[in-house]
Amino acid sequence: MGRYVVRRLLQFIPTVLGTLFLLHYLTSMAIQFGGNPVRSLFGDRTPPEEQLRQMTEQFGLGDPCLQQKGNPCFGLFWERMQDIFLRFDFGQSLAPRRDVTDVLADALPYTIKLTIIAFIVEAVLGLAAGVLAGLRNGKFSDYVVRIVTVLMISVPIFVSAVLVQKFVGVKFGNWLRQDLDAPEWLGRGLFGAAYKAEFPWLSLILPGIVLGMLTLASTARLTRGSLLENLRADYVRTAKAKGLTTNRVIGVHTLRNSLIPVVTTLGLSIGGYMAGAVVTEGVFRVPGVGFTILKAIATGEPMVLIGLTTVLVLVYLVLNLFVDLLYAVLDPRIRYE
Amino acid sequence: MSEPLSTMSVDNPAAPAAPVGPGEPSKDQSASLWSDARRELLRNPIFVISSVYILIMMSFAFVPKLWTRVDPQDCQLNYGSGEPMFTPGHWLGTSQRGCDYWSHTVYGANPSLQIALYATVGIVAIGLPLGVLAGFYGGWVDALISRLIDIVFALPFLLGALVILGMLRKYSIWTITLVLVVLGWTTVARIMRGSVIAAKNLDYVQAAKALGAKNSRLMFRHILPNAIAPVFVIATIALGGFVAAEATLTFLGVGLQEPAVSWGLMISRHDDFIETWPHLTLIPVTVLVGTVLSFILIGDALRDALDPKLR
Repeated sequence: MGRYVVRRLLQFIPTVLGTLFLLHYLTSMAIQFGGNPVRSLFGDRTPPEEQLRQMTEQFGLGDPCLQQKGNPCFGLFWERMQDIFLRFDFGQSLAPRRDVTDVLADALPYTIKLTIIAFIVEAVLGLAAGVLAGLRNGKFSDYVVRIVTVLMISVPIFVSAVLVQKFVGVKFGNWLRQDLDAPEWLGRGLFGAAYKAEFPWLSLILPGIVLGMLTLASTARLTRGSLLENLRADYVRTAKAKGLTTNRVIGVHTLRNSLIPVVTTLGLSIGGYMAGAVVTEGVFRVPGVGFTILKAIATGEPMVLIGLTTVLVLVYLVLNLFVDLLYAVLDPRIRYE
Repeated sequence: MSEPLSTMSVDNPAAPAAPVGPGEPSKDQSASLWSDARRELLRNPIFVISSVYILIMMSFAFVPKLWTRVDPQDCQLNYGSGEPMFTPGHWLGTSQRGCDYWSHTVYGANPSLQIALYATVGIVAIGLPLGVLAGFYGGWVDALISRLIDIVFALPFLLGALVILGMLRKYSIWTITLVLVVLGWTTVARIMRGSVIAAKNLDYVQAAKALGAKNSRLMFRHILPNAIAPVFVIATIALGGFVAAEATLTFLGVGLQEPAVSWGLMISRHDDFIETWPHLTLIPVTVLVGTVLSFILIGDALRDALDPKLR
């Protein structure tokens, strides 16, 4: 166990550096091939050369290597790593002149709330559906769960976000608000079409459910598969043979074992939420990290874009690490690898 | 059944080349994995229906003239807010800009499916050789390739694509494909590596080695045909994933831009009119979801058919 943890931690450092370098290399290439992103801040106008140079410098994009196509910009990467890990500096945004860390601090609470809601939805519904389908293998409810999950997997998240927003938030919400005179919290909060500051949790429930649906289906399918596999295992037959009650066989022996791989997907799905949050936050206008990323793309704020993505990638990597360590704690077979 | 039967042989190009398996005596009695799989697939109604759907979508994409004679760019702006469904001449109505919606639906398949096809070919072209090398040689080659896979895999797929395209600001079929390939090849490499490791210690490979077969012969003639099945499954599902990814990126504004015609653009252009003109959103949503769903179902059916343990 101890050796596994140490090995995993040692592996973590090069992976973080490698991933951040890859992100840096790809974005640098995008700048090298796409042209100076600062120019697009001016729209159609041609900026005076001096002003353009000055702004490019402020963005930290003045390095000449960003004009040489294919140059990996090692120097710039080294500087950025020092900024990030030693000074906790992710660059500056320009339109309102702010540190990216401040922009992040403003946006993060919304995304965390959204993620918590999505995670609860995914864990509760996904596990329940998976266990139900696994225990009723081949029966009606199993087929329902299997068909619904395949359908859910094939609907891209932007489609489900748009449909839920328009049909539940706008149509159903309008009916509640106008025809039924529903209370504020119900009509405008829970079933509102967009995020509202007066209802910081309620108005996040709808986007949270949409986000949770992104991974709910795969969790349910994995739970079902893992449960089925374990129900066929010898130790379950032994448990039944020695006369344990069904509740104990399933609840204690089978479920605990079959949930080990599910824990991994649940952990990793939080990583999936990061991209999904861009879509849900964009559609429901939640002022979180994803929405800020979209805004940065629209207005052309390169440092906000790179800075926020770097933070999200770091969070994702740390989560992966935790999931791996948790897996080692839960599954003793991992330790002696 | 005669119609799907005739189409299937086109759809399964791997099948005729299959009896290359080791120690095959003749093609009559002991059927190969692939011919067994083909027989099972043709009996699977879900597979047949999904394949027919995909073939129709492919014909939308690559021979649109078969389905409509109207040019999607031939729009009548004086229609104003658009014509409803079943107007003479426009049986699906027109878009907000007065363009024939049926012709948009047909031509809109093209960019999605082109990107999906190119990107899938790309991830297989990169992931397959790397996976084979890592699995076959092990040691430092494996360590190197596995670390590379870890690093690329740690960039969340859609988020990475969003950022790179957002910085690049050149949105064409080729840039989108390139970004999807760069971020997406790891799944194929992982699957291939595992599959090669499982196959390389089998007795027949050892036997071939003992007879003095060279590494390249072992890899391509003995191990690859036995290890490649999971890649077909992954590639089929990836096709659906890329169709969805292209539409998502387009919806977020970093994919194709107008005047291109694509399902993603049709959805993002019309979702604000869903109360008055729901069909303008629901039509592209239906064909898009149907395509993704069909690819996933075909992949599932392939997985079941190619797994001898399930028989």
